Amino acid sequence: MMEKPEDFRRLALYYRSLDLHKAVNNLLRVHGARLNEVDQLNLRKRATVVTKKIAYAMSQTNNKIRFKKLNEAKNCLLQLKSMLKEAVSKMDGAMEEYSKVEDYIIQVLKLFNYSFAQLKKQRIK
Amino acid sequence: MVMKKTHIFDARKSVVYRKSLIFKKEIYKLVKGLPAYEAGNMFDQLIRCSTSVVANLREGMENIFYGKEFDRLNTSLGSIAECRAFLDMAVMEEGYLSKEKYGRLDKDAETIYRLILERLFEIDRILSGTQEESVS
Repeated sequence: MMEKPEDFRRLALYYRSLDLHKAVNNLLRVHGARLNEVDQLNLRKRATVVTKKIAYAMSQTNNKIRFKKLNEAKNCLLQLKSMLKEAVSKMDGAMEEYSKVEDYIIQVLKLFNYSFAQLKKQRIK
Repeated sequence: MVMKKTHIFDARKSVVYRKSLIFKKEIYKLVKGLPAYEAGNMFDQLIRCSTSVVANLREGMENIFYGKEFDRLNTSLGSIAECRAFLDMAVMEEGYLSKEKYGRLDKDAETIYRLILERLFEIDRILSGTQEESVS
């Protein structure tokens, strides 16, 4: 029998990714003037896609798709991390804001690993 | 064994389909108020996911195979969850979306989510042979 999918709004992973999205937007609002529009859009997009994919994955009834989407979200987060590092080098005085974003990235990555471990446990059962 | 439906349901008569159409219309109104720099990001993605809900619902409901309907509705479920995630993101940003509008849209999205889930459970029961197919 099919199991009821988890409510994604009960997950810490989802909430941390929302915080990350907000932190990236704040960083770009305050210090984004030095970046061109395309770079800004790419950063915003990556931050949005991470949250979007987490919501999609967690509301799935199919575990395979859930695993796939979570993997995609994690890849997107890693891309965001490397892009942000490059972007911050162009922005003066953005290190304080950036350290907040980096903290969120680390938290979300840890929560991703936890979610993958949970999914693996479910598979073994 | 592949299970076929004995009759094809008219999606236009279904509550969830009509509700998702209204929801899509509301989302289209909402995105017009987003700032210009969200044009390539939240604007596009909100339109895409709200359209995906409706399109997948209809594709699933008017399909002859139960398995395919299950798959399409599963995609719809994911898309409506995406819409809810975008609403969360929009309400966290200043001036994107008012709290009242957020509450209303989120409630609609939750209703659609529950209705799709209900239908998914029904299909699952039919496929596992614990429930007979309903004609109405």
